[in-house]
Amino acid sequence: MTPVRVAFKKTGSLAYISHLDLMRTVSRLLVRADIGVYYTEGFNPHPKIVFALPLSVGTESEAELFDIKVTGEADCGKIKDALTRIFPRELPVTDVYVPERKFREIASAEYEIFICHKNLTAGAPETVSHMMSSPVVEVKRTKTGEQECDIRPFIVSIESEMKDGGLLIVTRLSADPEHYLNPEYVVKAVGRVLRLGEYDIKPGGDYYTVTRKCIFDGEGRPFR
Amino acid sequence: MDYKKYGSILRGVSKPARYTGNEQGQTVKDKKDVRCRFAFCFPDTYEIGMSNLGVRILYGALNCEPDVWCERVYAPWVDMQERMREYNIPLMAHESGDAISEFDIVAFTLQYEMCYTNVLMMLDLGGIPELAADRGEDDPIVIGGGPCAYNAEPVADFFDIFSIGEGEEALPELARLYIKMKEDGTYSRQAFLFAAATELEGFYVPSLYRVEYAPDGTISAFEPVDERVPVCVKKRIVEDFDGAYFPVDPVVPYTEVVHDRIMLEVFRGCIRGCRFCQAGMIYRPVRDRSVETLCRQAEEMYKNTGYDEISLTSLAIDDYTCVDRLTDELIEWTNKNKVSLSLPSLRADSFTKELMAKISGVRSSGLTFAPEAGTQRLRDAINKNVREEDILNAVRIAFEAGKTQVKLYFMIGLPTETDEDVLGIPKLASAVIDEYYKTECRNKKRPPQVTISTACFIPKPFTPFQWAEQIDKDEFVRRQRLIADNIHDRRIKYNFHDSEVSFIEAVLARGDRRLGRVLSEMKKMGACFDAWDEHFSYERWQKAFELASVDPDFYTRRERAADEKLPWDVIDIGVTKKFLLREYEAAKQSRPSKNCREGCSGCGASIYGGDTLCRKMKEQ
Repeated sequence: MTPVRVAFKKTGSLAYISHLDLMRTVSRLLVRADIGVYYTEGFNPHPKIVFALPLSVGTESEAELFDIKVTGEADCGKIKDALTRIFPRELPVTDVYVPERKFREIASAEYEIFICHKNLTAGAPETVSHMMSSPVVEVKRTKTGEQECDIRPFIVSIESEMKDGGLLIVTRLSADPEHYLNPEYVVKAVGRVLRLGEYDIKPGGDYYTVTRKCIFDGEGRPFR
Repeated sequence: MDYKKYGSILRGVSKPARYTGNEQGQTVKDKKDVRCRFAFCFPDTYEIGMSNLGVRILYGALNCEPDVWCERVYAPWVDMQERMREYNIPLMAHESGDAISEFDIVAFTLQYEMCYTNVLMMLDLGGIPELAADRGEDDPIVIGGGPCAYNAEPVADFFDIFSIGEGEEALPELARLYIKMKEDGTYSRQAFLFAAATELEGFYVPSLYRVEYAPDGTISAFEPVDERVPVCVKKRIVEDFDGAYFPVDPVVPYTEVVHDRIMLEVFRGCIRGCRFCQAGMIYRPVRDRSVETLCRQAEEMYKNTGYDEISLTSLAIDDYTCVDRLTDELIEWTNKNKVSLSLPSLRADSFTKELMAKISGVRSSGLTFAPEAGTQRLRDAINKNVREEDILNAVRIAFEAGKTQVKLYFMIGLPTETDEDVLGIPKLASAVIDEYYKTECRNKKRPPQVTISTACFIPKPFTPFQWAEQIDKDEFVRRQRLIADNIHDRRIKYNFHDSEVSFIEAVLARGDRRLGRVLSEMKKMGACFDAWDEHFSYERWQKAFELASVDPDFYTRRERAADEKLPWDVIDIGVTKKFLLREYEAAKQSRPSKNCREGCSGCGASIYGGDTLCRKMKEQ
């Protein structure tokens, strides 16, 4: 039995499937790939799969991970070929390797947020850079209910520029198991400091996209 | 739906994955190779539509034609409908994202009457004129099919054509006719409808029939407007069922749907002939698929989908002649591949220890049986040939296998039902509880639980009860209360269907063309998703009946005379009216009939050729 980590992207229309849908989908894809994946024992046997970080519905990612175990020695190259054949175009496998660290050692994740809004002005990047100088209070949903809190301690870095007619934000957010920050809070906070107001969601109107770009460990290296 | 164009909208609605499509197994064709575009609409949510085996089959069968492209369309949930109206987004097909108004043929499968308001909502969202009479040369041909098409009169005004019976051969023929007429220049809307009705078999074009009514409201005349149009439209069946097309590479949804598993269609039709059951009559004659074909299909589907569950579907799976051999062969590789096997339609009288052992292999839940009625007298009247001892025997087998939960399905309001029959329902549930404690090697860790559910009987066309009256709404409530008041055991749970929904369903089931106005009024009032409790409004239906000057009681609260012209007489299902009347008389005398395998009752379905049970019975 060998532990194997699979890196993949979640893009396009598949950004709209929920975490639960993704787990079910991957489970079926692994069956089809026929790579000798290890099943849980017991009453309801299913491929044992552990995902690194959940992703909000509507968010794309270039850096998703899940762990499985395969029976016998693992040939990562062969597994990657088998998965590439089966995984859909919008869920491409990018790497297969033997894991170096445990998922609980994930420290942060980097996101690209692109906002296209009629109320954006050229001064937006400057406003965003000043945002961090005073408390950024958001109503955060936690396991015990909703509470107001300053989300700044969870924002490792945030930079922005005007690009392609919108505001491109690159931000690194805390992603360790205790202090995970959903990038949607940053979208909300930025919208407030820039006084964007409501998004006009008509086709061709205002919109934003969020893409998870990379996951990092405690030393700031890409997590593996 | 294009996720790029509509991203902001998708983010704001519930379960956006039901609109984004791009699933594995979908068919995408190059438009320049396509000469007939088919939009196959399921008038309910994605989760329900994707679970329908009939749609899967027809989608695949149509797409086998290289120049036909069939796409899927589902009813957008109310939050999405609102956005679509607000931003002028038309109803579009899943695969291409093109508006359904651009298609050649827009097909609706009519699986239950309560979806009719959704059909009108979808036509409206799609920008297709509601009334067939108002459609022009550039509008799509709107066709309907499925079980409700056997009496499609309530929606006759909204459809150009109905496909009667099994569609896997008929629909490709219709598409071919369309292509031929388009290419040889003979196509016009009217010419196509006429050709479908006269040159092909199994297509009913309602506009080619004139209906007149007598002063008492019954139909006085129902005849074709042209002598070349058939007086009766004969349903289509697939004669070579074993060799018939079956999709082994189905669309696998990303988001969870109701039946998310491999579905094997073991046989079509049912040997039983329960007198309330429309499916048992309209799908005759009985045709089997061979064990070899089924096992091959199962393995191919497993490889193509990765599903971890196989369900053997049919009307009563244990009536399959080779059920033991099939389950033996399937179980061998399902266990190896950790796939579970489920048999959703078990009959209590043929349930065996061996079957029990097979279905408790990998994953398993409680067991469900449908005695339908509480006493032997009433079970004989409805021809549900299950005895109390069969039910107790079946639950004992389940208890011995460690099960503690049993579900029992019943109907109330069946013709000839008395309070004694109603009280038989809680009595039977108590007997099941007693059986648990009588079972020696039972699972003692958990107390037993029996859930009884009662549906309200709805007389359906093409059943022996098609002439019967439905009992009053309040009487349904009284009988439901009678059951509830006679359960004195916390281990017995009781669920029942809403009698108001059942009343409306009964009106539509045996309705005529005059109900079209009622549905139009419902549409105007914004009705949709009437099959969903939270969107069903009895008051709205009452208002619609009033506005359309239609008395709903006319359709439910009277016994029809044997010689009354029925709205569905225009359809011929093979099973004769004479047989149905004979069965109705037998019901009144609480006299059961033989099932097809015990002996032929001469229902009439044997006129169909092919490898049918009727043929085998004759050969014996």
